[in-house]
Amino acid sequence: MKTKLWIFLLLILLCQFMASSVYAQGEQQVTMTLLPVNEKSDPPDTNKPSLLWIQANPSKDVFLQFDLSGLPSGLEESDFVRCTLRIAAKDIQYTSNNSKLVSITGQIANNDLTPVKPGKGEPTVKEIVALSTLNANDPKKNKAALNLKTDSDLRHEIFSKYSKTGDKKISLRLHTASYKASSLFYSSKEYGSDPSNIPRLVVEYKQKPQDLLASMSWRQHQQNPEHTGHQPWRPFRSPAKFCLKTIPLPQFKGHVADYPLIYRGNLYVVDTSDNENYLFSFEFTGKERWRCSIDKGTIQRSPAISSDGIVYIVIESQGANHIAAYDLKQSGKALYKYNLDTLDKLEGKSKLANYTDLTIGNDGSIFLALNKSDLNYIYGFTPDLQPILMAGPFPGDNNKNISTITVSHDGKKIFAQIPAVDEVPAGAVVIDVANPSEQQTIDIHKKLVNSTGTRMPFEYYHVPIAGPAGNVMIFSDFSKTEYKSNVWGYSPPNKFIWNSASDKTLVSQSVLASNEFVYYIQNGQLQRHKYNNIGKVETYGDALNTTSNLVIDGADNIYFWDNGRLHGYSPGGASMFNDGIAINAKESKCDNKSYGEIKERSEDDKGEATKGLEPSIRLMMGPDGTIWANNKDGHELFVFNPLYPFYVAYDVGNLTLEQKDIKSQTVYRSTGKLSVGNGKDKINVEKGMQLLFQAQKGVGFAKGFSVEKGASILVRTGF
Amino acid sequence: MKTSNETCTISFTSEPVAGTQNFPGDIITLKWQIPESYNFQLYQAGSSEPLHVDWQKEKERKISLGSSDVNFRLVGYDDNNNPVVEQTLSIKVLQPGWYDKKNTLIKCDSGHPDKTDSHYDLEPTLLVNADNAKLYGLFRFKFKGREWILLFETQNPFGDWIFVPTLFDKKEGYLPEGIATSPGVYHDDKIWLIGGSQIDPDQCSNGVWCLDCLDLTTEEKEWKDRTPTPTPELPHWKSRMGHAVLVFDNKIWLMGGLDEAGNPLNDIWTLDISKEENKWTQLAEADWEPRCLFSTAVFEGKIWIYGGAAAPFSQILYNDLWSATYDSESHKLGKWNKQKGPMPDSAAKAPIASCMQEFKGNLYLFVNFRTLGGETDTVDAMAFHLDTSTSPTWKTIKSDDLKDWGGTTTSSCQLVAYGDRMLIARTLSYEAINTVMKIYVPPLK
Repeated sequence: MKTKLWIFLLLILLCQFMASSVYAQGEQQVTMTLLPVNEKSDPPDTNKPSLLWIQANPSKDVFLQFDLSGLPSGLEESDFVRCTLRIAAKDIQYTSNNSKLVSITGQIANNDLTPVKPGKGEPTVKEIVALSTLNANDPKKNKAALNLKTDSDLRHEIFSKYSKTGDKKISLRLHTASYKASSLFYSSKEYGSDPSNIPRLVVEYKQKPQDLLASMSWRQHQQNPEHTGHQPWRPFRSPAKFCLKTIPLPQFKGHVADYPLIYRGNLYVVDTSDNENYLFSFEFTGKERWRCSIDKGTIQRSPAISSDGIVYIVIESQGANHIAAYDLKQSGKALYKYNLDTLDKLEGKSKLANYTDLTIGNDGSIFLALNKSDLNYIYGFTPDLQPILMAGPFPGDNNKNISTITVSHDGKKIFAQIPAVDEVPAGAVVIDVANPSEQQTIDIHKKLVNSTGTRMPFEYYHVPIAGPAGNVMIFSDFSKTEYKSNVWGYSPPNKFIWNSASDKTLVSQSVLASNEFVYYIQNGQLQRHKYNNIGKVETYGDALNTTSNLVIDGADNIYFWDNGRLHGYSPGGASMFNDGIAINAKESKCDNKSYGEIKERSEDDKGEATKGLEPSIRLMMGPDGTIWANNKDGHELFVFNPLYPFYVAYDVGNLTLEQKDIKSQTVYRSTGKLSVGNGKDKINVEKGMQLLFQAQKGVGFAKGFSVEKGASILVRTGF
Repeated sequence: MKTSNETCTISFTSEPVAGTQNFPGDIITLKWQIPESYNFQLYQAGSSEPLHVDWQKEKERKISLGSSDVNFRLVGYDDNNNPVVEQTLSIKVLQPGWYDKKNTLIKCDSGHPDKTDSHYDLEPTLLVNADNAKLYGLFRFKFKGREWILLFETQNPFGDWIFVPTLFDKKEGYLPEGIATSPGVYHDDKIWLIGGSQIDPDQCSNGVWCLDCLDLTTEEKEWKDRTPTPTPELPHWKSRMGHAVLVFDNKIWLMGGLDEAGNPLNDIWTLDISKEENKWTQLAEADWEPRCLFSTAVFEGKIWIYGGAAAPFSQILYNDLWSATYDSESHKLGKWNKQKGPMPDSAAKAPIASCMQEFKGNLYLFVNFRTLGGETDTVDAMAFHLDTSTSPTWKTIKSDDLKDWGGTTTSSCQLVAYGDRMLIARTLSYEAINTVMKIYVPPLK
């Protein structure tokens, strides 16, 4: 017994060590916006020194310097997909005598922002980037210049600077030889009222697969920047029931601000009480790890966590809203703060637009919708809270809403559902992250068959979803006054794919499974539709309703809360539970008599009346298949723990694994003991695999168990 | 015998029919049908003496035209030598000089984008001479906010252009994306579109598209992608714009241009389509400064290049003329020799656009010169020709009709010879649309 324990502990140490350098999952493309860390005009315009001036004769050049150290380490040249340099024009013609046409090219410059001299035997310094032609007469070409064509030389230079040890800065000299050209450009110091005008270098790269712990996250509303609501970890077994546990938070002075989040396997919760706020970190069992005091004020809806472990929270204090950033890797150390009222475009007070949350891109950029003076705007920020992007205004008065922002799968676009704008009846706006002035508005509608009429979106929006391919966008909306709703599939610029409409019910938040189906509750049924096909809607169940968001696990099982009942459906639409309900919290008491029917409200529940979950909640799914929630005004967290059917007769809750059971990014969870191997047959974890072993009563690794270099496993016990 | 009070019907026609724009030196045929009851005489305007005609045997007469319009008069006389019947034919002869021509799509024209009465003036972006049998032209226009590009053909540039419904991606009437302003050549009974734009620095490409013109009525009328896949052993030329293409020594040549990063080029590549392999071969870089938007021609067995710029819209413009011989055995170009241009010493004038073409044993050069030094730009179109067999100096062609043609922003132009009868010119500008083609009719020698 002692030997077994030693092996067990040794494996935990070994595997934790390996986890930090091992990747198993597919590559994710990321789009990162870098702003200049240094810039200058040479010579500067003494009249407008904060602007950037490019002129042909006499020559006036612009130097921009970017710091590449924010890019993740370990990238190879082939991981750099695209690099875009963009500058926005203030005045293409400095005077009326200057040319309306300006072509700008760029060369590598010295890091002291001086020109590089030609190499020996070379007459000139090579251009590495050409920006698109600016044309003062063409409204499509008079805003910004960027390299629309190749980026190969620029990309190569960026990689060269990135791969250097030490200083990872790249400096560029931008200049023109265009006849009579003289143009003024915005700088990071002066960008008018629109941060989209700040010069930028946008780097698209293929990110190495997340390590095991990083993949164990639910960092924001509906899990990821695409808002799929999909937890990537697959349960080895689908649950037969859930057990509802209550984790009291006696240390809380107030209540949990919105729902908990998970970062690298740990929970993060904001406790808010009157004007005071605390950031708490818990282990997955609910045990407190640390807490810290954060800015005072009213928490504005859901916090969100970046992949770099920074939690961003919008706080209203004395009538002013600001974003605050805290580093979870440093026990909540305050990092950055940005007062939203200082955004130039918005005179006076601004607040998050109604019913919207923060969205964080895979690069750490923060996107949000702000409302000011009955107008809505979309803003973007760098991870250190420098504004980078603005779009709008969009109507924001009365019942005119805007959805939470969604980021496309490759991070190149952001989009949101919006009400009618000018000639567009009602639809969405799609913004190019590399070139924010490039905005498309989508007219969302469907022509009705045998009618001149059209079906239009309603005035309330769920969070849009980004599809994994084809830039497909899934929108869903519902009426405030009637039981009517829509789900729409669109691909840019204006290609309508499908619509699921109801004139009888509202619609739930949709989720997107790995099987490419969008799932939602509409017309009293669980419905699903291929996200990118015309196809038809498939319906399951009867008299279903939901009072929560939907969440979906790695096996594409769908879970939702309906006013005191937790439901679960398999990806094929079958109810996972005999009575259709995983747990009925209204009736639940601890009942261990028959396995699979355990209904427990707390570990200490002895049948006394306990305050349960509220009718309407928001759900968050952990990597181990647990579902987390909290009451709006509660002092406790609620966790739905999955329970499993008999695996071996009379061996209640225990689980023994064989080689054929070992599959990457799978959670092996047992309510009893978990045995990895039977001692007779070998079990090998191959390179690249990520596995999570979790059992209530202990995990044992039998003789013959081995882990290849490059694989990672995590073992957790007790929950 | 007939008298004047009797009726008489005659037919007096020409081939080509009267009204046709004939070229100086063309031969036309006069045809008549006349009754035998009268005595007929055929007069050419300007001469009181009739032409000698054997009225019993001749029913037509071939006439060689001069350089001006000419009238013919057929008169029938009665026995009293009184004229009783007379008919006149007016034969038009094009005057030497420049003529305007447009290609306009009107309702019911093949290629018209909709069923409305709207008409569309088309801008020529490329003309190619199909072995003097016909001309092909790419024309573009805007419809519903989108640029459309169509292929047309004609046997008579003064006459109608006829829509050629080629296929791209199985769709009739479509052409490959992004080739609207690409340069091209006609070679081996095919139209070749090569690389990026002639004018737009944002439209670079290393693509090669090909249309077999031998039988455009068959399913073979699909544009084919002939872009080679580059390998370390078989490199392909860089994506570019503003490059020059021409046919010489049974090969397609590509020279210079501007690459996607904004560097001017002076590399030279050839494609020998007589070989099965789709292989472009690189020659030694040229001695002239790397450049784009320059003109090329083949003249007296040499390749000639003129003008160009360091980049589109650039203040760095070239006014130099170079030529080089080519040895097809070794597949090497000889040394590039700097030649004397039409305005070699003009510091005040710089060519913003030019084109060259060999025509009737002369090298013709059309140039848009920007006059430097003033607050306001002036741009003058000028045309020259060079006949090295008689004089190594450039002679100016009367260019009054070119004034203001293409505006002040032309950055690319093209001259195409059609037999030895005419030159056709078109311009392209980044900023403006020019739907007018100019046809140059040379004087009779």
